[in-house]
Amino acid sequence: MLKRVHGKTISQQSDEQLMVMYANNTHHAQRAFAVLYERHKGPLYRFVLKSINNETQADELFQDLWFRIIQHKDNFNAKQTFTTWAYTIARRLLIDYYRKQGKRYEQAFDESISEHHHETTGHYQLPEQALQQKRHAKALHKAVTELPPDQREVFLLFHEGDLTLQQIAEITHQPKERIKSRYRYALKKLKNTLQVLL
Amino acid sequence: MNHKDPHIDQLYQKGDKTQPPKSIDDAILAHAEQAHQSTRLGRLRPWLAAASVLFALPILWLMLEQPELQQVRQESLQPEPIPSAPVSNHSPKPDVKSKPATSAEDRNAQDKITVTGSRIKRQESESDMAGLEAPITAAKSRAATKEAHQEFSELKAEQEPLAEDSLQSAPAILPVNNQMQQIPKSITDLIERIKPEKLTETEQTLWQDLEQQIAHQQWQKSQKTLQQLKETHPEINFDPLQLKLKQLSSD
Repeated sequence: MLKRVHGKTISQQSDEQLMVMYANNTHHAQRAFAVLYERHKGPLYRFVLKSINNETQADELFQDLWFRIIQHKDNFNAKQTFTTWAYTIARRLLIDYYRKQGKRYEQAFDESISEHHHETTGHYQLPEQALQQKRHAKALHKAVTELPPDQREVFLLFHEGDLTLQQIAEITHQPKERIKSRYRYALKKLKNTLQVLL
Repeated sequence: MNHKDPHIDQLYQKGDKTQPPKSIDDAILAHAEQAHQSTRLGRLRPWLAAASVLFALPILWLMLEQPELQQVRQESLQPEPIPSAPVSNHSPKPDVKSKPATSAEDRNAQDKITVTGSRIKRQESESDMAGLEAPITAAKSRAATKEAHQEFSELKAEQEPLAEDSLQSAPAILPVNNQMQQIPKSITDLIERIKPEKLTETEQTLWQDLEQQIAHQQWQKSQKTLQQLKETHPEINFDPLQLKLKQLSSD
């Protein structure tokens, strides 16, 4: 049975409406949170995972991130987007994480690629085209992890978080033009890397 | 304006679709539910507080309006007179509480005192266990005090003499007026027991005179001095000392 709020089912509500429902402890608060979590868990997890290239640490950080969202639910401002808010928290957590590791956030992206990017594709045979596409995608993901830190951050926020360049500028406290140029450089490097690899 | 490169974006979206482990999903959802429930209760707190105030106020108002209760309240606020204690002796030891029986509770407690040879047992009063009870009126208190004194005198008459060692070994369990129950062998011990710690110069002189007179076996003089001391210290029960002196003088 679908639960309706103001004529819409909970799954049809926007992220911000769902967060407000959860923060206000409405009758469907828990369901609202579950929908919100289901929507964003993948992109946020991959953003964290690809930022630190360590699965165990990524799990902890990801959990911590959502615990913070829950803890500070009352601080959520419905005027801002949920994604901007969530990725801002995620970014702060990453900065803290690197500080504890004795690294600067910007330096951290120079780390080597994690093992999960070297996983085998499996023992079964795939059609040639699909296999090739898979190989290209894998190469791209590897190339992303090798991007300079500032460009990598912008790329991940843009593609995983589905944020606009303006939102990324707000999260990173950088001018929009700088973010735009970082993204352009990132794309250029990725294309070059892909051409070399493939 | 869309800045995304379609080829890169398409390729990227087809790639890694890693999801968080199921255990983390469960932990986060459980945490969210827990926080939600605790906040719900937290938000009810002001309402619960308001409800309890609304409940308590009429009761308080009714209590204040009741004339009987007001009388009791006024009486309980009046200072209670210290009963002149023919039985309740002033204890020379500050740690031993010589408390006169002031209520029916104490009377009950005294009823339960059993003296068997060298042992004194005091059964724990149920009223002591309860700790708090409604205040009794001063008039009732005074009546209870008199009654308690009377009963205690009767009880005292029935009691056997106690061994001194048993009293020393268990002074804390002695009830009120424990000094009355102790009949020391030596008269000097008796004086030491009842002699107050803080004395004025005149009182000090009288006590010294008494001690010297007893030491020199001047019984008649010592009885006169004792009489003076009685007037000086009306709060002390000199009866045991007087009795002892009479015994010694007759011997």
